[in-house]
Amino acid sequence: MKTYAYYPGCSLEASSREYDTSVRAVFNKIGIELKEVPDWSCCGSSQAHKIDGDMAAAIAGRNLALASSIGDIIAPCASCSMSLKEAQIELEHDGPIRRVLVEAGYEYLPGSVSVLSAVEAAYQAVESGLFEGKISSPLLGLKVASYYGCLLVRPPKIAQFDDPENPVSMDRIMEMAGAKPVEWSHKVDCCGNAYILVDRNMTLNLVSNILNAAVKADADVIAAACPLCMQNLAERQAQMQQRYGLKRKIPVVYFTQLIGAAMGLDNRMLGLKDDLLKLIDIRRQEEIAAREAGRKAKEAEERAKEARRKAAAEKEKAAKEAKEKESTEKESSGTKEAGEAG
Amino acid sequence: MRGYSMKVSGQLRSINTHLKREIEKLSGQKLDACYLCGKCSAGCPVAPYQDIAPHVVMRLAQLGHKSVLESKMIWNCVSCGTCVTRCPNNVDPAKVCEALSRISKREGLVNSKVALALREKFVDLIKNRGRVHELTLVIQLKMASGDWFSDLDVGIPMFLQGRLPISGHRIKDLKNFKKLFEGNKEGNK
Repeated sequence: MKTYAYYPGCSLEASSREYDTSVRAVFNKIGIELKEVPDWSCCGSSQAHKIDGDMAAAIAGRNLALASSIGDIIAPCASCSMSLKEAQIELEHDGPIRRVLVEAGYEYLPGSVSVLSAVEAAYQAVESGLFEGKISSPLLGLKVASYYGCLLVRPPKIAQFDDPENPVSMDRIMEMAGAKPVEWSHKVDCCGNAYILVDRNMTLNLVSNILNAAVKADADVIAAACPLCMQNLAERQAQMQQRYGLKRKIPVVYFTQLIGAAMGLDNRMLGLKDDLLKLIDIRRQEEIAAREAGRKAKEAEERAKEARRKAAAEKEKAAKEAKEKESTEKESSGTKEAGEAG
Repeated sequence: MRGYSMKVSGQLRSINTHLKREIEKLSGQKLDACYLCGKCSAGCPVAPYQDIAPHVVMRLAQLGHKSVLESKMIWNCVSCGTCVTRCPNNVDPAKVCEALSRISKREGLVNSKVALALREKFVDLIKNRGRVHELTLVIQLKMASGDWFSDLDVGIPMFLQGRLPISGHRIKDLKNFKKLFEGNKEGNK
């Protein structure tokens, strides 16, 4: 069993508990142990570095120092994983930030940890086959719009994961879970993060554009990987339908909740709502029916082909026989003629 | 889309090299590397809702023009990283906005009080508890904006579901954690 240091982050303790529980459950099921970083503190998110970049690196770096006795860190929140990655790059060389940490009593050993987002860790698990035989109830036919948002893949120099403009890792994860990832335009567009509390109009416009793009791609559900994205995308759809031209409501869940459903984990524990579970069932039955119909159509086609082949063979046979008959008749009449002549 | 140009108040007599140098130092960016192609502005998700676009911020920063300190754009950058991902010359306009907003605060030219409150309250919360307590942060921002009602339809159900708990965690090692803030302040001066 491989062990990772687990950094939940502030949101996963409160507003995004279902992300926390689903991440823990999914990784546990594939034999990865998550050990919570002892006495972890906030990563600074997208705000601390706006006040002071060095301070932001120091408070994120503290968590790296605390995790270095455990090993590589999994940080599910996109914002957390980005802050930790940024601090780690800073801490790899002997600079002022490492000194500040040492003065406060935290020691970071260079090269001791690398930081992974939950998407990265899950993608690695897919690549190394850890999910094989674990998908007991695949999400057949479910059209998923994988939403990466900003910080999972951007800026590429720090994220060092997937393509910054058209990432595919979460789509591959969804395929592994049996679902159908849709091609859509807003995979990496920003949701406005905490600016929902600063400039509502701007943020709701950004979010409704993202949701409408998923609706346009005919997605059943959006898979997210960040608590802030989730709150912006999921919670205000009624308002957006009234005032921001959102065409229809669309469920938004964490990608780990979907993996959990595909692995047959307890739906209540995963925090999946009944509406979505119903939709998953409907899509699965549709897909099974469609596959069955496809199989039958193929069989019928095979049969028709076989029948045509038989008919053609018989025709050929008949023609051959007729020809043979003709030639023997000719032969016999020839001998007759010869006899007459003789 | 609106706001892709800006009336520059006053005459551009000369380049304010002092301000320019300070921006470069705080942001760690080479301002002159930018040749104003506008790719940052084309991709910026928030630019259509601001007064000036990111490449205009860059131009004014290159000139060291003080008017940029009063712009809304420098406060409302959401740090999404689109601009730096696409910049052909490896410049990070988001870092420039960050630096400008710090100078703008010092000079008392803040254009977005709520954006300032967001980052300050956020960091205060971390400093006092070690972690962010979402409910406190939301209430403090509501006090800053005066907009108490528009998020109640979201906030009340979340509160009732227990997803905005009243009590939050405090880390154990708060004493040493606070040193991380002090140490850096001295380093900056």
